[in-house]
Amino acid sequence: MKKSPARTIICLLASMLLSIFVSVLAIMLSVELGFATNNSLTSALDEVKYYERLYNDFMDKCESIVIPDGLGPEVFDGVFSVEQLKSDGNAYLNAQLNSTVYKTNLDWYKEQLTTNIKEYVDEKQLVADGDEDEIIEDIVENIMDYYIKMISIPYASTIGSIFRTISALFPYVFFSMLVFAMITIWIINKQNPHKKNRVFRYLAYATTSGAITTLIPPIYCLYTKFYTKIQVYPEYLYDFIVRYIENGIKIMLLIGMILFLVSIVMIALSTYLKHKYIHTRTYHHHHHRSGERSGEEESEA
Amino acid sequence: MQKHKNRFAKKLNRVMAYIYMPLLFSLLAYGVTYLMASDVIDIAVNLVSLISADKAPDFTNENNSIFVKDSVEINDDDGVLTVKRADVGMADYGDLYAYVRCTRIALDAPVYYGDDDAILKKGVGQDFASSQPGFGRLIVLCAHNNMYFNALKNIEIGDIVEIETSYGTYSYEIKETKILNENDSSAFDFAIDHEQLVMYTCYPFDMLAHTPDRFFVYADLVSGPVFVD
Repeated sequence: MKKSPARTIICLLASMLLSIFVSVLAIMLSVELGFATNNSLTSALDEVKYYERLYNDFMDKCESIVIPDGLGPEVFDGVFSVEQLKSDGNAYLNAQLNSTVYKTNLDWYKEQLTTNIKEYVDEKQLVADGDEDEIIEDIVENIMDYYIKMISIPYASTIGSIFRTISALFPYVFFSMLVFAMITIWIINKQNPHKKNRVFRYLAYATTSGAITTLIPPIYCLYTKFYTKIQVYPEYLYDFIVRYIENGIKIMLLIGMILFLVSIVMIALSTYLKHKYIHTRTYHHHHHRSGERSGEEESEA
Repeated sequence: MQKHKNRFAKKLNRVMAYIYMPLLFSLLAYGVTYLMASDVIDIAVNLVSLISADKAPDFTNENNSIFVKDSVEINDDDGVLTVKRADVGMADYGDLYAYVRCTRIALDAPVYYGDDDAILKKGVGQDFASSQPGFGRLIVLCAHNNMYFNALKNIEIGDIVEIETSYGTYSYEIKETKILNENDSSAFDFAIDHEQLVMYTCYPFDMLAHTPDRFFVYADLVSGPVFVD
């Protein structure tokens, strides 16, 4: 079968469209797996020891709140713990991401903190200018408000809303891209019914292009590291954001590399089938054809 | 020979097609994506540049210590202690640069330049609008009354307070104490014509909850190295 310009153009166009579908599939998959899951957030939090550092910062700030009120850091002994803060933080994060309401039970903290403050006031013989219980209640409420503020991750509800949009779109985009990809593969196949090496050649173009399109953004990010220049404080929040972005980038890089491997397989298959085709044709016709003819066949292939 | 060349050129072209065709497709894909989503991309780029700087944030420059005991040479010029002005290190915000002491009332605390919550937890803070010792100006120190300045409740007129810096020790004699409202602008004068040390803390001592009054202690310079060029 001779190459026809119309067939070549159709195949190239189909291959180009396939490359777009493959790229969209790969990028959507990268975003869904690398960024838009609760697990991607919580694993980044764990990796940078976010809650341990948050706890230290929280205790530091709490002490700064109560010291001007005449109290000492020891009023927090046995009240808060890293484990409880982590549990409250994760539950609160999940609620924000899923747009549900999580009510942290603060009763135990309040009770324990109030007891400690009263003991401290008695021990140090501090004098209250007004109702002592009311003053202590105000201090405790202040600390509790601060606790809620500290366990919430900034913009978590906005991030959650983006996650939900991506997750809602993902199945539709995924399956439509898959269907479109199948159609383009079918077109390429239909145009080359006897020359499967050509089919794999066009598939190789598409998958290589998909791999390039998917690999360029993460390589650019890892090379420039522009995301490390964001001015976010405190340090543990900055570390969490950078780690979260880097983890997502690595997933994208991995998917791009898998696609690249697929394209190598396609190239290998195309080359193998072409050589097989030439060998078969040469074998069948070697009594009737010259070496020049085999060269022509090669060009046809 | 020509046929061999042609065959080689065709092979090369086929191999190169595996490179330039995907690149062309990718370029087209990026071009189409940019045309379709340029508004969103611009917003994202602007948003990132809005919260970014030229370099990563620096988290390491907090609360350095520039206090190194006896690190600056002090000369005795006919009974007058002098230090070279060029040797006097200037503190940045958050730096520990001195110690304030009063033996009689057991006051011994590090002095940091700046007076935020984090500093006041670690020692005595200095109003950063005031001067370091030795410059002939106002020095304003503050600390919590249940921590480093709890000792001030026992201070008396005539007591000597020392501030030890890397460039020498400055002594101040307590001249007056006052109780004023925290918003009283007459508490100290930045334009004062001599070196004065003002220390203040919340008042009354041993009080539960935030108090609106402050206990001020005023002291004048008695001795300390003089700056020379």
